[in-house]
Amino acid sequence: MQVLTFLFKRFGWMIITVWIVFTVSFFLMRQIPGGPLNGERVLSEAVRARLEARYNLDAPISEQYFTHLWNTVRLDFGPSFKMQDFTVNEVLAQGFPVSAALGILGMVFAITIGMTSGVVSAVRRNSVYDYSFMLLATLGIAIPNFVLAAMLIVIFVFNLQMFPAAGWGDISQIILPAFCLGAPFAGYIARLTRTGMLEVLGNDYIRTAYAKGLSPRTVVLKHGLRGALLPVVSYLGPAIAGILTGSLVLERIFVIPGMGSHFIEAAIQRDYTLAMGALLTYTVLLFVMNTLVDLAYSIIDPRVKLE
Amino acid sequence: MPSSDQPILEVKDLEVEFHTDSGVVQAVNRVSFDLYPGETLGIVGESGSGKSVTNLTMLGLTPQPPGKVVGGSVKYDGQELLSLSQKQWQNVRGKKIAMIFQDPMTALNPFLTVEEQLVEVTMLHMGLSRAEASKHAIELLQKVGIPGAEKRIGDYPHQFSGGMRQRVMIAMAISCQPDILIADEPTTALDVTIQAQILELMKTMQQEFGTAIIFITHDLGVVASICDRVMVMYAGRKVELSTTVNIFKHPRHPYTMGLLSSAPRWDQGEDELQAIDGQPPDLLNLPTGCSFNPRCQFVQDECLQQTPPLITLDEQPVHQHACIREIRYLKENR
Repeated sequence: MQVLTFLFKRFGWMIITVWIVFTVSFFLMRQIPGGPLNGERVLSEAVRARLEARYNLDAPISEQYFTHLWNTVRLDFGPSFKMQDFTVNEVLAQGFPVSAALGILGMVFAITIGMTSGVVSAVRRNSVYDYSFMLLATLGIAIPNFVLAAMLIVIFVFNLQMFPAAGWGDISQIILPAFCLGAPFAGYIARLTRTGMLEVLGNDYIRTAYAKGLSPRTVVLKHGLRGALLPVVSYLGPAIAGILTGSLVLERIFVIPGMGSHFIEAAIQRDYTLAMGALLTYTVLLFVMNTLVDLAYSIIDPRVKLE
Repeated sequence: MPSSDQPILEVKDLEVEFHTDSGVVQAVNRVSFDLYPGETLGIVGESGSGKSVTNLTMLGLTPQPPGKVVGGSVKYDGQELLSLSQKQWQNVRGKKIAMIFQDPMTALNPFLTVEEQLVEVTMLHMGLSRAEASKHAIELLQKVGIPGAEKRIGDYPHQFSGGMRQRVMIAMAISCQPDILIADEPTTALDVTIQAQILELMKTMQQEFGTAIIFITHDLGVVASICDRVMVMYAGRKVELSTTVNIFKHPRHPYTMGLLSSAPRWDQGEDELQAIDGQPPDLLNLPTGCSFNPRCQFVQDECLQQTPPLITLDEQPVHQHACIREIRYLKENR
């Protein structure tokens, strides 16, 4: 019951947020010089007028706003300005699953690598493992993912010839970009897990667990890990946002037909409808993820009350 | 009173050091004592006197590093504990020797239900199935006086009050019927009324299971009401050991005397409480001679030079103390 009320409230907030994002970006985009009809080819007046009429660009801006808003409420983002014969919905439907697959795999990399090395570092504090993992973590955080991508391409594509350089459609093509995407987050998560774990292992209840005769493994995994998860879980919200922006760059490097490349193209070419569609998709996605994080938090820590 | 001649636990010349950045601290300095089945031994001393470290060592739980057991022996039922491997320790902890900690607010895992924390011990040591362990856990909670145990067992620790949590801790500690129960200031964090209930509960459990209890405290009132014998520790050393009655009636060590006269008593008018002068010792820079000499009212030149040996008086019941002066007479002639 409590969960339902929470979700209901969150949904309300999401609607408001989406509306604000819509309004702000609608006017911002139109403030930027240039428009969807400015291209290399200079259009004749007649063609221009017909196109403006087709895309409803000749109407007063308030009318455009309300028409666009109404269409958005009906989940119809309209035709794309630049990708002829495609509606925005079709473009998103093609790009989103690709980006989602990349993002999820990147996140899985980040969580598994980050948490494992974090736990090992905490349990074997000041050992060789600890130092090397933390060095790697710092490197992962410090190196921008496009630099990492370039280095990995040189090593794994040209020298070792293990993976193809770019493209999409095969398992071997997703591993390098997903790894590059997850690397900085793996570094952060490793550091967070280590700190969280060290703090938890100093707690009285860990001593109690040892005093019961439990094995070190049980103590760490059963009694320690949940507490150490909390800082990691609260980091996941911002991390997901970071994964989204990170994938914009990596999709370009690895020529992946995801949403990121469409989003950048749309912004550069003033493809108002496509940019708006992508933006709102990202907004909803972030909101949903943050809600899931809060839910997860309350499941892990029974003392947390959902508000 | 000892109910058997064979001690269940023999601690001999135990020495524990802590290696800190500023130097080596001798946390436990050649401490010896025996524990007999069914008795309650109180260990009294101020913070830093080594009482908690002594007891953590008996479970192999001294934090290492910085702690290090450098000498002595701890024998449980004739078996040396200090040379046990990690695996062997796991068969002693919780099964033969169990521990109750000071603060029930932090000693229970806030992320796991009380049931989970109770059943994991019995499933591990007694080989019970999950269902048996649950049933056993409910019985234990009823035994320690938690109302509505069947319902409350699924609750998390934060849903219990402090006293109830300590009852849960006790239930957890006695769940495998250990021979020895170490209680490290189990009532210090509780209200006075709750303290009395918890002490009563521990006595009842002791009578039912015949458990030997080591009771660490600095509360002499608690000692008087529950302990058969008392060991007084100061700066890592045992300074006095005898029966509770003997210690209260004829203290031999000035520190014990100080402790006794600094405890409030209802039958001694409204005089001001007598505190022990000075500060607890800095374990890194112990004074030469007797560690207590800077605070002792009976100090004389000899006390500054030689560390007083432990003297076992030729009387019954056994009385040991570490003071070179006959303060009993000094006090009377003062």
